[in-house]
Amino acid sequence: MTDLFILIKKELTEQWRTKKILIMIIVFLFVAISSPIFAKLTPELLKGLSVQGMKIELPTPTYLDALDQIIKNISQIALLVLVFVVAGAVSDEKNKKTLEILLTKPISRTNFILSKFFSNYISLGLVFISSMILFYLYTISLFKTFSLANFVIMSAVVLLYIFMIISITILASTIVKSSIASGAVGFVSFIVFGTVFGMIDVIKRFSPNLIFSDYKGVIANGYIQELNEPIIIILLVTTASIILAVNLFNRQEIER
Amino acid sequence: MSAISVKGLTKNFKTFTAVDDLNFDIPKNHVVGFLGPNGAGKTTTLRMLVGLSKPTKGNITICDKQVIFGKSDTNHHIGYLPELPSMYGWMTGYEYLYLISDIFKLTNQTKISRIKKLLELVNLTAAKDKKISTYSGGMKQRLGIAQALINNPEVVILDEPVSALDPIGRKEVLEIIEKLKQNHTILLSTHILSDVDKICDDVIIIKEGKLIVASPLTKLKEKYASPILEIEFSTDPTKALEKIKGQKWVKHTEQSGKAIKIWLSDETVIDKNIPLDFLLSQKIGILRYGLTLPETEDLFIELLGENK
Repeated sequence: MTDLFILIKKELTEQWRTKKILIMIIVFLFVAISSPIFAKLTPELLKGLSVQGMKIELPTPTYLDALDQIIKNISQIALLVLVFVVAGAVSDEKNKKTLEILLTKPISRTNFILSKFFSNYISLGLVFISSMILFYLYTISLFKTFSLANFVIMSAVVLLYIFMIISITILASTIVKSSIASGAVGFVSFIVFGTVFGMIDVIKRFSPNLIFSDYKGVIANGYIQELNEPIIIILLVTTASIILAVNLFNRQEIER
Repeated sequence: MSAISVKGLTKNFKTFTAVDDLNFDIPKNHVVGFLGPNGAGKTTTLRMLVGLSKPTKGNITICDKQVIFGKSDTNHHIGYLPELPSMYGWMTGYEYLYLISDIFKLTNQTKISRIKKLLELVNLTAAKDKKISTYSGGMKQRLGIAQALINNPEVVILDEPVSALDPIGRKEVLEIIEKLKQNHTILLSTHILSDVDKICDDVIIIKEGKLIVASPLTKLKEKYASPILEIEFSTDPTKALEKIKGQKWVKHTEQSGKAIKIWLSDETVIDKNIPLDFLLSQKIGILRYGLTLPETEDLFIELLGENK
């Protein structure tokens, strides 16, 4: 077994035993199940609230309303929880000093940091994929069926975005000492991608957050060219975060 | 051939020099006490030896391999126990040792027999399946020693291995170190000087990051330690002590309640009863008066020039 594999195994076990992954399973499953339910029930609920004599006309809900719900929930609730679950990846080990003994063993510092990235990609990726499968099956059972291939493309793009946020948060966790601070950096990066990019016309089309507004186009037509620039930025930011975290950690002294 | 060789080792933190041009060699299979007052630079030095901290200047070799910050080549030869070791509380003691033996790529058979042997050595067999978070300080320290020995390293570096322990825990850990003496080079930093007397062959003493002395303990005692006069008075001797300090046969003094220790600059004054005559002239009751052999603690005070 290479030291990278040993460390990834240790990380995954830790996520399971410390119940971090359980929190993410609960959040993503809640999002997957509640989104189609809310889409289905919202018109009924609004009808029930209508005042006597006033008639509320609402269109019949479709799978697109369920998609609308899940995209909103992922981009708001799930990502916020995810950022704070990942935030302590490196900073907690520094604060608790648990990395001291490991770093005096024959493991490379590069692999130590890479194990943080890959273990989170694996566990959170699996949680996300499972929740999306559940969402699809539940949505087509409540509404009419829609293109699975296009749904897979949309989900893959959202997964890349999740990997980017994980990467930024782990980079922050490598730099700052507190997990709250690294979580805040991850969360702020999410807001920055949504606002700063959106406000400047020249770079608007590069905003990674466009994947959350262009999803209907993907569901209707499959992959769309408008996603090229956001995906390039997502891949660049993810790769840069990994390279930077590895380089910084290789030069960091472990303080007592 | 040296197990550890340190040449011109220096560590600066901005404007503060924690370790200043340190030089020493530790022969193979020697047990060395690494001593110095608080803030002398002991932990900083040890952390540079194991690659956790980067030297500002200087060179370290362990088993003839250069220690390079950020690289793990020399870690094959080292077992390190930090002061107050932190291990993953969610793991059991057995799982932690298994993880460390995985890192050293021990074969499955070696892994199991080595872990079993080490758990017996550190007396944790009964607690091996309990979570580390439930371990007492002494148990964590003993597990820390076990993880440091998993690869049967040539060099074992222990940073204050007993300082946080109660007397029973301390005794247990010292017994383990005693057992390791025959096959390992051990560098042990400690504040408890009586422990150094019990288990160390050599001592290295540093102060303010600078080397004071590096020598076999017995030679050092012969060479440096002055004879010590121990006197116990019936009343508080503080006033008399001030006068004693002014005598030319007095090198250092140390007071502990009604007892004082006097490091003599000239042993022949004993034969002439000069100290006793002087004390009698002070009209203060003497309960006990005698010459003692120097211990490491006395040596430490003598070398560091402390006058408490």
